[in-house]
Amino acid sequence: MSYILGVLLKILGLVVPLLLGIAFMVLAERKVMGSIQRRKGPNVVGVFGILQPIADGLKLMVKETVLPSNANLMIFLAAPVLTFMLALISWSVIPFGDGLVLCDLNIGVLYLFAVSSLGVYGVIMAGWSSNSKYAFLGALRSTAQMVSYEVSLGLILISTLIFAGSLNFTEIVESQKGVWFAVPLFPLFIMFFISCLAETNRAPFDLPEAEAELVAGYNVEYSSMAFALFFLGEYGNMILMCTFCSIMFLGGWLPLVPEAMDFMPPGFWLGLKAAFFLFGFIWVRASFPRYRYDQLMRLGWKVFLPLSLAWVFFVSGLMIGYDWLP
Amino acid sequence: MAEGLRRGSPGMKSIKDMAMRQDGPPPGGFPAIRYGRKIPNSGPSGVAIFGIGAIIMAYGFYKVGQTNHKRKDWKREKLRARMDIMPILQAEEDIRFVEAQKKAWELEAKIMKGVPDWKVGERAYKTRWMPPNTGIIKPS
Repeated sequence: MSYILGVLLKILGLVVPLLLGIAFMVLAERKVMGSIQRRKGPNVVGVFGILQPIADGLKLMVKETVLPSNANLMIFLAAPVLTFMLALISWSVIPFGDGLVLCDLNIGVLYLFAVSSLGVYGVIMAGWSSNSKYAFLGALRSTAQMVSYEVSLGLILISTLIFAGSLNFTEIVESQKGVWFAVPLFPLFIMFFISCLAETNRAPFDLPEAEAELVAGYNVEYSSMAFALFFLGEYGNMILMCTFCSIMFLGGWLPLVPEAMDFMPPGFWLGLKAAFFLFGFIWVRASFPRYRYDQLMRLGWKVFLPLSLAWVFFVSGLMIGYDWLP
Repeated sequence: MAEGLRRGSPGMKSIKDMAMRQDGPPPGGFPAIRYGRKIPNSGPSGVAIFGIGAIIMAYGFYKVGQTNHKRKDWKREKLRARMDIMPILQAEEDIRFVEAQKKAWELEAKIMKGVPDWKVGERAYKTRWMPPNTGIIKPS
């Protein structure tokens, strides 16, 4: 009994800060984009608009959930729940410090990949069950994009896995004690970041929610809490991808200067690195125009895929040739 | 004055008839406008950036290799240590096993006391007893 209670408390301790983080991520995005575009951003609710996410959340919660009369209701309602759930359960393998992890799987990377692949189902279920051509086309685009970039994402990761010799997140971070993998794999690191942008359907790859053509993509027909669940799932995935990126390439919880900065807690360093990438996400969104769909597919299949595959050969050749394998 | 500007209005035969002359180009025309983008051609060259990047990356590869060598050594050391204390670990495991088996037999005798000619601890398989080898050599 006490064991189950302990586990539940651990899960709550992970999920509640995560949801708060998502809420304030939305505010941070609006503030940062406001600054980049020389506006103030939200500044009415609370001091500096700090209560804006709470007001937004409250609004979404008290509104009526509009259910389209021609929708397939079961699937329509299951889709946001699935998206939200998948965004949360991938966090169970993310280590915030040495041993600070819900479940230290020895195939953590595979697990994370499998769960993020399942995220496609939430999108396609939402698009199909809405019985709306906009939602359906948006879902098809979104799915094709996510599937395409998952391939390059996986191939990029193989190089880091060759370096670490393990699929366990803790061991991957430990193996970066000498040097962060972003140093030898800098081009791959950039490619990984761009693939993360595409994987989370963020600008400049936010085709699925092309406002002008598809109104808002796969979630046109959703309102109130169902929409909020999609929203939370999307932003949760964004933060997850940023954390993933910092674990794989920037040494996770390892401090910036190994011994001089050990007094800071490991979670702080992971948070700082993730925040760095999150800022990058917003910066990119504020700076770049949207890609055309064929350009997006070209980038994924004809640039990233061959390039990352070539890197796998290069890295594995080098590691075997110099006997550097772990 | 606006009436004077209207085309074909009576009274004005030439531009010089206007009360005020419009601005025109200076004699010889305006100088050419430079409309191309002004991109400064300073800083390190592309080759230099590529070279420096390659050097840093090569250092990174070397460092990863060194770290992996160290990790291999630590793993080996841990394995050796575990192998050295293996007899002690095995002895402790044997003690635990014997105690657990005694408890299991007691429980069995208690449960099966109603059954006539039941032999406690007898197995269906006629095999020789082997010490349970549960010691884990692999370092966690």
